[in-house]
Amino acid sequence: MKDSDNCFRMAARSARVGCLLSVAWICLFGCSPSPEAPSADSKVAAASSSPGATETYEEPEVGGRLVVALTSEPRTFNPATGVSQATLILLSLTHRGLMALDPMSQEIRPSLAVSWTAVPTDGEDFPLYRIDLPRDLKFSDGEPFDADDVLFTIEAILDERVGSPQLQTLMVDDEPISVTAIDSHTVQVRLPSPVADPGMLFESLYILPEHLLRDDFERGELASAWGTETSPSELAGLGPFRLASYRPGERIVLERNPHYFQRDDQDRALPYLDEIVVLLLTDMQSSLLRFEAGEVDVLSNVPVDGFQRLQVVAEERGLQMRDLGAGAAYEFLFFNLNDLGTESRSELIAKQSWFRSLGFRKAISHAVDRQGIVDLVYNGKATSLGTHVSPGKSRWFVDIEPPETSLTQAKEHLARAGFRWSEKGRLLDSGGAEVKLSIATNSSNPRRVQTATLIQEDLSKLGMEVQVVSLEFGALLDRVTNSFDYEIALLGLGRGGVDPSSDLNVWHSSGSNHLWHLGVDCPTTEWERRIDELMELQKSELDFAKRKELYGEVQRLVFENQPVVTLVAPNVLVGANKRIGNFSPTIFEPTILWNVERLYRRSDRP
Amino acid sequence: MGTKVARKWLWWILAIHLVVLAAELVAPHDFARQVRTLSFAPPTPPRWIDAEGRFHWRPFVYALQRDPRNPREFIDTTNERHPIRFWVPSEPRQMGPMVLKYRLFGTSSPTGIHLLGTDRYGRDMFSRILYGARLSLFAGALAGTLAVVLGLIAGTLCVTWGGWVDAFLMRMVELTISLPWLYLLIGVRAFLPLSMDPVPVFVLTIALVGTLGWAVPARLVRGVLKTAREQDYVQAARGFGASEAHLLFKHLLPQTRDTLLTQWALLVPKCVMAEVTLSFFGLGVQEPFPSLGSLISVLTEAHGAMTRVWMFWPAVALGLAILSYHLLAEALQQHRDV
Repeated sequence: MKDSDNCFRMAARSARVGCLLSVAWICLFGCSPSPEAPSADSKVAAASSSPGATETYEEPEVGGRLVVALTSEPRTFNPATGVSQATLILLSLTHRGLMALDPMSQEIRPSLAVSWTAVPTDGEDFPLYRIDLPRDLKFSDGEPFDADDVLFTIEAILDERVGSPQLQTLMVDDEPISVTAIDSHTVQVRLPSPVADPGMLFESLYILPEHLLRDDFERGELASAWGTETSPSELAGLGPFRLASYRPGERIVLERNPHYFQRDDQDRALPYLDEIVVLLLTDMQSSLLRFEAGEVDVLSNVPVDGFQRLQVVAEERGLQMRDLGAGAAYEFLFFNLNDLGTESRSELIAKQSWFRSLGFRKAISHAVDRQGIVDLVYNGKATSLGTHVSPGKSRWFVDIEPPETSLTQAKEHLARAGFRWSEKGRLLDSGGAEVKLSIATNSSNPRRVQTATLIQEDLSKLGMEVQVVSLEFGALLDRVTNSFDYEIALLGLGRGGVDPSSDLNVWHSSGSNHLWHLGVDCPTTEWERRIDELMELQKSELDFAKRKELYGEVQRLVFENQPVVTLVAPNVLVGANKRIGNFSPTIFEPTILWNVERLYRRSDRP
Repeated sequence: MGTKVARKWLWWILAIHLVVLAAELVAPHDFARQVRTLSFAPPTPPRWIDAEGRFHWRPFVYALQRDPRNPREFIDTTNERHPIRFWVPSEPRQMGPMVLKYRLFGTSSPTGIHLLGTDRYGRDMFSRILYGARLSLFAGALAGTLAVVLGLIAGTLCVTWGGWVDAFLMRMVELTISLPWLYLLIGVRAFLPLSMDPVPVFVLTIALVGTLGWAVPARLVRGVLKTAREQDYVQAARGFGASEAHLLFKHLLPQTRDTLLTQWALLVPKCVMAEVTLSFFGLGVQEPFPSLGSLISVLTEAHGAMTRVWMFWPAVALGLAILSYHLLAEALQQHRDV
């Protein structure tokens, strides 16, 4: 009884955390908290006030404009409710939070906060932290920032009327964190229970200006405040830029925030750029063409074909193209292991007995030619994976080699699992039924359809008859998460965050992104139970080495039991005009604009 | 004049259909066979003049190899010619009731003959276009035929029954014409099982596209029959006591022949395009089975298409087929007007 209660509690919590991360996943954009923890008793101070301050920067030219492209429109300018990709990119330019991910070290560092200190609690169970805030800081409309703005932000996010996707990040073990002001520039945070990296709670939490939004909040209208029709003069943030104008379907213009708090080593005001023009384009192809023509200055997530073509003309066109190596996202196959009850198709239930066989899953993993996927689908711009953590997440990566591509080993696994072959070479299960499968994926992603087509051929060599079914993304998601009407699916995950806790909703058996078996109250196998246990332990483990060991064991269990067949991690490909200085992209979103305050435009092409 | 031209185009269309119908024989490779080392290999055209400039009566190809200076590209291996031979032995495969053990042509080249290059997976484009065109063209021809037959039945019912049947069917015609057929087809496909064998998908596509195309022929047949019914010779036959069935089959329906033929020639390319559109959006037959639509869909990657021009061949093939049907329809129209 106690165990089942515990499972139910974990299920409920993970499901709620999952809501946020599902959104991140569907948006294909990272808006959830991140990496690893400094130990709780340490004091983390901002070496400079920006993450990634260890980077060396060039001597800049001040002024000028940066042109970027977006392929979707923002749906709101509200930091409390924004989830779309376009909104999140704009928010990253116009707002700042107390803490931020340093993409270079993959650690959480103070951003607005001057320091973050663990406070001794005299044996109390509730960890306590003190955050010192900078003085003389102003919002982009000139109004001063103080501890009340932090308290207001926390209050607003925790209010269910606002419906903020970040609400769950401020909950620890179902309990909200509590924040109190010690004075006008110091706040104290009390956590309901220990958290491995408490800084990550505040990583993507942009500070809301109380003087502009308090009235909306009191009226219960904060969720709808700051829509895209809002006048720029009614918006304010602590980011390096502020909104100057928005013409739907055409462009967004951001101008330098004259009150921005950061200065460079020479004590010059940041940002260097005067303005950013965001062109709202229809698709990636038009972005590529505009970038090639020099009308767009920077381009992230470049498709591999376009990247290689741009590499050829880079010198002539004055472009700098960068392959940043394996990204955090990964592509994977998963089997429908959901509990289908009795009403579902009997044919599918029969096939689930194959999927539940470890030998069958291992056979598929051995049959898949991952290098073929890397070479043919990604033109070499991807990395084969043995588990779900790509080399891009260097702090958490455990070097597990991908399974060897071997038909012999695959056939041995199948034979041991009771499968056999007909005279015509068709694979038969122990009951004599032919093994026929379908792989579903989303038609909007040609790379996935191509990957599925390669796997179809690989599996046909084992005597399986495989069909590739490409569906519209919404229809596929409905089948995977609601109707469970699929056999094998091919999707991607991993942009949700750097920290292992951001994977909780994927690997915990009760997680909302535990796609292959959703709605599990309690795990059914020993290794699944162990993964649940490890994911819970790592969440509150304060020692980094121990935490990495725990998460490494999760990776090894995933590799050994193949609940999903991880395939490849596509490389992150970006480009910029050579006129853009301090171009220092990273694999984490926003790949190019993470150091936007230090980007500058050269008057002459180098 | 119109008849002669129409006959010429009819023979041409027939020839195209016969070639694609015999794809198992004509195609030098299996449409699904992947040779991953030949990803995006360029065409290997038949040659008569070798690298030294010597002429050879028997056409030949050069084998392909990776360019050592640019491993992403291929170059010809010119030290050995591989003659193209006809009626070459191959692995046994089914073509209708027959088991074929030969292909129409082939070569001993280790990398094979690829008249129109290969795709991402190293599959022969020429073979895939033949198989894909067979699916698209026959789906179009059969769906067009179904639409014409349904239109003939509906138009005839309107004239012979009249009254509320006529009114009802004509309102249905208006409704069908106003339907956004593509969205309807996409909607219907969403209700179908996730994975379907290619044959049911093919039949279903024909049924869907055909049943959506009946409206225009029905209205035209109705108009032709109504006009014909008032002709003097029909009135005379009725006066001599001819039955309604006799009038219909002997005097009225033959009047619709030219209209139906023209409609068929106009409807077939529309139905081909409907199938191509469905496959383009991934709603037709699924990989590895080709359709002209799925072959064309790779062109959406503009950068890749610009560097691999042979990927445009499916679009050229589709254009030729559609143009042929339109020219046939025009010739039939001229014949009718004469």
